[in-house]
Amino acid sequence: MSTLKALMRVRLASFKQIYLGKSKTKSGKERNKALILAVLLVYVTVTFGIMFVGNFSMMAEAFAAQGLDWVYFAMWALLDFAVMFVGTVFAAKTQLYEAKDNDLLLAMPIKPRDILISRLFTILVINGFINLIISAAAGIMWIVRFPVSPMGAAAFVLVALVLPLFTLAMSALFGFLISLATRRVRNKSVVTTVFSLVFFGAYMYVVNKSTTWIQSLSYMGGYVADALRPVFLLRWIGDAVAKGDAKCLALTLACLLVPFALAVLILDRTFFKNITTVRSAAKKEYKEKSYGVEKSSSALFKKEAARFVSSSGYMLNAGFGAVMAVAAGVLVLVKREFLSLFFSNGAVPPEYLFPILVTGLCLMAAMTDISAPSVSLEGKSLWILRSSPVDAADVLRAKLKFHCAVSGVATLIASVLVCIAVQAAPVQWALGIVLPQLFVAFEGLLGLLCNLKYPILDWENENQAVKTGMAVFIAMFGAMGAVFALGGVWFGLSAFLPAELALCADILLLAAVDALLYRRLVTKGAEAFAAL
Amino acid sequence: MLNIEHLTKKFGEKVAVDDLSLSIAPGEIYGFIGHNGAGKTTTLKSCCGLLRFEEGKIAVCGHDIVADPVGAKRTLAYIPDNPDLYEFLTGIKYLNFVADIYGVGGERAERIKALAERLDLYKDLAQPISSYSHGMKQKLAVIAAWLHEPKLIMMDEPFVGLDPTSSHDLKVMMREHCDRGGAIFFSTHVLEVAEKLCDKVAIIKNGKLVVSGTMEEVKGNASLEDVFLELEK
Repeated sequence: MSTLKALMRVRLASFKQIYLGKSKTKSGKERNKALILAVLLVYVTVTFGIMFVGNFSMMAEAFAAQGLDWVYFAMWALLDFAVMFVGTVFAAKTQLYEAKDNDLLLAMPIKPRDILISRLFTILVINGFINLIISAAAGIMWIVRFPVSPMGAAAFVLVALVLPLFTLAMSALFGFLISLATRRVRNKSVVTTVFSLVFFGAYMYVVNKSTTWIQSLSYMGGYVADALRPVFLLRWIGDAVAKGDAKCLALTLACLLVPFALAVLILDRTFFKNITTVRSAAKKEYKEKSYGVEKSSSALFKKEAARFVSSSGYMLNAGFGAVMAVAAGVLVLVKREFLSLFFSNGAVPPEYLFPILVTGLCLMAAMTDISAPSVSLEGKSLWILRSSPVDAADVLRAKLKFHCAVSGVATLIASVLVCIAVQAAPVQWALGIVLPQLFVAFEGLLGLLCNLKYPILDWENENQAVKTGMAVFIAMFGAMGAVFALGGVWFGLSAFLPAELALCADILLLAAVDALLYRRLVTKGAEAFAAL
Repeated sequence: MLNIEHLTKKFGEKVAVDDLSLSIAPGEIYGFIGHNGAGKTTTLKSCCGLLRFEEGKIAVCGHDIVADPVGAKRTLAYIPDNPDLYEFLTGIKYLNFVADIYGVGGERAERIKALAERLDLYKDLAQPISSYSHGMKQKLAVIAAWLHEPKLIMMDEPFVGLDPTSSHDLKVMMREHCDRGGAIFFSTHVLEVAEKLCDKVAIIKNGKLVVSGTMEEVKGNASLEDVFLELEK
């Protein structure tokens, strides 16, 4: 039991480490980090809580008015399951099937079952957190308006307690399938990134549409009821809570607990075999081929590119803004008529449309922080560059160039789409391309300088370098602040100057800042890199 | 080839290397021996520009490592005690990266083939480094070090993780390198290897160089192990 407790403590500590990085001593820094985590948790809870309270409030009114109480609770269970499942399927994949410390733990006097339980516990913690927010929102929105029988309330609590277990079983199953699909392919990181983007895209689409859907569903209670009725489990959940039906509750609990018990049983029987069996892509024997001789600057750039595409965590976290930039450009093009209508109704002057869109592109560029963890990602292999005959400034230039290549191309596509959407004049085309590109360079420079100031080189999991630390935080939020500053400068100047001329002032200002930051990067930054 | 004069390196209050001087001539295999934490790795890292030091001067093939680090590094290769390589590259891509950095031209393919076949890694070059064992990574680090034909090769515990055949091959490669006019400076805990392989040896204790010279000068008629244990008392 003490082993299991110790393992669970390790899992919880790894959570803390992933989100806040490592702390060697109980210093003020650690207390600050704990405070940041607490603030972050409160922020996430409140934001999601407000969103779900709004949705459930709408559904409660509509379904209760139509006498379809059971549909409300069926929808709660469905939504709760969906969000928990999306939130933990990748955690299940890595924790249950691809954890890197299995060998270490198996070599210790620890039962494989305890390792399994500690890993399931991690996933349950995430499920529990999500479940708490959604179930509290659903429960409160119903209880404050409508009477609930004691049996119904008990059923609600029981289902809320058991639902995370059922979700765990499904996450484990799909995590296994994704792991199976990715472990045999050579470009595992690319496949994982695609899977993640598809999941994220689907999630964003659902979240974006949820209010509209829920609104429509609320008005079409009868149709929803007809659609859900054949899904016995949802019907039973609905009746168990809405009517306090003991038989439905028993059936619900059986349906939710049996898959969980089966999943645990199968995992327990197969866990040792799973984690000790090496399944990898087929070994490819090297066949000699000619490689072109590159200049060192080009070799460094290619190395940055290889590092980027090798890590789904790096691509997803640091390159996500690039995907969003292109998506935003497409959205502007698709919604161009709505935009011109919005800006022609007099609420906002029409000449503000283009500068606002260009500022929006800068905001997208601020979300692409490829350079911010790039020094940290050198980690234990930093010695290679440090012992090589390359100037530290050249290494940093390669990192900057790669950042600008990825973010620059994505932003350029978005700029072109925006310019087409607004039927930009030649001057606007120039402004709409130059300003976001200068901002891309600004973000790259800021990220590198921040990373040189706050490097994390002793990471064990590269996500620590990508997600945690001051560098990424300052680079992203600092750049967002800079977007608002540029917007402020433009707004101030546009009172006296034409909109395009005010944008020119932004360009001059940003170009000057970029030049200063670049100078600092190749002088002080290079010195800092050489001293790491 | 390598000239260290009065090297002193501190970590905070702790003096890791204290006024150390030694020089290595072309053709010499120079062994560096000392207990754990004696200052061997710190000295090696200082010599190849990985660590800055407070006092002293280090010149590699006439290039001052502080004033002209790029020039100095062009002439040397370093293999750390733990071969942390770019796990996201395949073996061949890593070697090509190193070749590009050191400006190895069209002859690189032949060199890679010869070195990789010698260390029995050729067939595995298409695999990602992340799939390599410790020994395979060590072999790849050795190939990368030899690839650009440096004048001076510095190695920190190079035999750790190598199988007996590769270990033997490496010793032969070290000797051949020095016979061609190069030099080797390496640290080791395996005194038998040092005794058989080195032309010169230096023993470091608590950051200070205790003794250095040719193998005969250092050990006389005793074994290197006896001398080392005596000095450690």
